[in-house]
Amino acid sequence: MPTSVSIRFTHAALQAIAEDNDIDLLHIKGPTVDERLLAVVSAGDQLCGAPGTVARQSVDADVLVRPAHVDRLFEVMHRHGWTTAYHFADGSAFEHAATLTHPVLSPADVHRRFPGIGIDASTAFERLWAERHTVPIAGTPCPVPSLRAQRLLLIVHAARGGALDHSDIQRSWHFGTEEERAAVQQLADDLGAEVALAAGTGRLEEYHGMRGYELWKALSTNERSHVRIWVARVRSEAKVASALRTAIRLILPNPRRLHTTLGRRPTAREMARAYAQRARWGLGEVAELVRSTSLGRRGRR
Amino acid sequence: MTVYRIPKGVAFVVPDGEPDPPGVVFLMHVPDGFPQVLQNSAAWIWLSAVEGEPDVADAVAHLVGRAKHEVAADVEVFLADLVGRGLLEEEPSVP
Repeated sequence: MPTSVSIRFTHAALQAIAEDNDIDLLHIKGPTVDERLLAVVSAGDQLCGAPGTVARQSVDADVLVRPAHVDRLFEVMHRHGWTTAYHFADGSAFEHAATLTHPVLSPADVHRRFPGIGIDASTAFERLWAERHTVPIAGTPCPVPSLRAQRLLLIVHAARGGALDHSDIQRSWHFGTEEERAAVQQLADDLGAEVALAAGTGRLEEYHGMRGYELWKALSTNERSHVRIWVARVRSEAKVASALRTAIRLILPNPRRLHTTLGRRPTAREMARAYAQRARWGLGEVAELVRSTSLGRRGRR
Repeated sequence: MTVYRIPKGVAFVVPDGEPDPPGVVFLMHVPDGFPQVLQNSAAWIWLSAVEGEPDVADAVAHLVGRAKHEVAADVEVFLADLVGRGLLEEEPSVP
């Protein structure tokens, strides 16, 4: 079965689970993206001779679940044969998504929040949910974010990956009308995503000095220093407690990832070795950062 | 004439890039079924049925370039099989 088919079945299966268990989820990215935001091929490139859209390539099905429903969704998915491969804390520095796998279907990336959206995750979900609409995926009606919300999510996602020349940004922002861009900006303001949106649309300097500026500068410019990203990530946290948690989590080795890499539970010795490697890596990164900073200072004199 | 529809809980995907009419359709009972694939005339029978063709055998005969009487019996058997497997259901007739 082609991956593009399997991903659509995953969306349909998750929607069936959600409906049967009163779980609210929005289907995002991949085959759920509005046709108006897809790349278009000219008539000459199509077998049928008519212009058409290019399907998005994905490896998994992404959904954004109402935060209060996350635990229930996981419990039900496990009952339907899904296994948690990576929990939120095992994933990106944002701890925003968990990956679940299935013996037949494509993996599911379950998001409890979307990186770049600054307001409380439940409030943000409610805001997106309020303007959702339904589209058929694998023939199954699935709720998806509004067109402007899809534009915002695609831009922010591309910016996070440092892909500022990504065609998603072109189609979602630069090719949009003034009204369409204003609608996206309005939503970003409501969701506390204005810094991330600015990063994706070349206007980040307007937000210099604001919380999140350093982080989105680092992400959107493909900063290679893990330490710089680490510092920016910690500084972007609104609360001291969450900043501390982020700081610690980002420098500790991840037992579940180690488990996946090894194909079994890591031994105490392997975990100890991972801690040592992580510490050496951290020291090396800091040393490199200091070197580059002092060289930079010397160069400016 | 029997009218068919897709049963609730049956998902279907025509893969990207398929011609018209598509030569392949994947079906699956969600969330817990196994994907199944229908190809060529099997796909055309299912698609014709769920698209509301009033005479599925006639539509399929046209697609395969045969006379209706040559394919009608096989089409009817396959439609009954699809209904039996829960991949198709008959619309209740309007009184």
